[in-house]
Amino acid sequence: MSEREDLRTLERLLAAYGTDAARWPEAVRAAGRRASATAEGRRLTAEAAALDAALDAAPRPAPADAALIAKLTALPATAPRRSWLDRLLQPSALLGEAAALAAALILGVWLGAVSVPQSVDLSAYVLAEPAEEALP
Amino acid sequence: MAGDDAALVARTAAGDARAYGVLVRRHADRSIHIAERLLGDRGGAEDAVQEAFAKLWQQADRFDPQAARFSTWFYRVVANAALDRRRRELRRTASPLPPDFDPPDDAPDAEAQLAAGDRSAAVRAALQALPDRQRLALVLCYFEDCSNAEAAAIMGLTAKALESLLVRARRALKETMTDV
Repeated sequence: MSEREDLRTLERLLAAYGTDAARWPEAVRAAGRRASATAEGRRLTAEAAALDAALDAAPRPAPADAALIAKLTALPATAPRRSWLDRLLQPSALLGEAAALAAALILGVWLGAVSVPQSVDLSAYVLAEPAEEALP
Repeated sequence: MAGDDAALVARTAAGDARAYGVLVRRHADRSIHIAERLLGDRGGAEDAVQEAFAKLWQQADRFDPQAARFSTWFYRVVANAALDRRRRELRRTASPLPPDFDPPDDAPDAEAQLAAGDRSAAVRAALQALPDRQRLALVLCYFEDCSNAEAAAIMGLTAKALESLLVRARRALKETMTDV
């Protein structure tokens, strides 16, 4: 890859992921690193570093504390599991099932109304007298 | 109790509360970090995480280990719970006032906070001002160190679409925080 292509890659990486190469997609990391060692690459990196520094100043959330872990692990006792039948019978599921059934019925009626009967009455052929052959 | 996530989810689906507890201890920290960074509020984030873990306990059988890693599936559940919560909150606080009514925003914006010298709060305000999907992309890739493939899978996007969101997010932040 040429130096120019590497620089374009670096520019794209900095714009999306910032300056930490560990965040860059592995497939283009080497190209980005090569470009960041050039004078132009160092300039681009310094520009992007300012935004990284600002982002790094964002408040860091605390880990889940013991009280939250206790609430979460207690959920099985307070949030009863629903069987597949319960889920099937809940109002939103029933509504969906009813809508599907209604759609199927409408489609069936419509198909019945527009289709041409394909049955042929053969009785006329069976019961008819044999046709007289035309005389020359 | 050891075991990979997929095996623990299978046991959770079968009603094993101990296996569920292992998943809680394994994924609670990252879940609360994602939710808090999305919402900018600890209380709301804890509620969203509880909602996500309740869903895990009740609907673990919906996880398909052939389709995704557990972390990918579950962090998507967490992100959806947080963003749904945010949308509900926005709807709840929306007042039925005339469309031309422009209420003053009590929360100081990023520029005001920068001017006041509170850089950390300014960054938080700027992040909260981003569209949800841009903020989620940034939270996953920048703050939670997800690989771009993992973040794209959590968001249900291609790597290219994720990268585009990240570029727009960083550009917007750069414009908002001109003094950084």
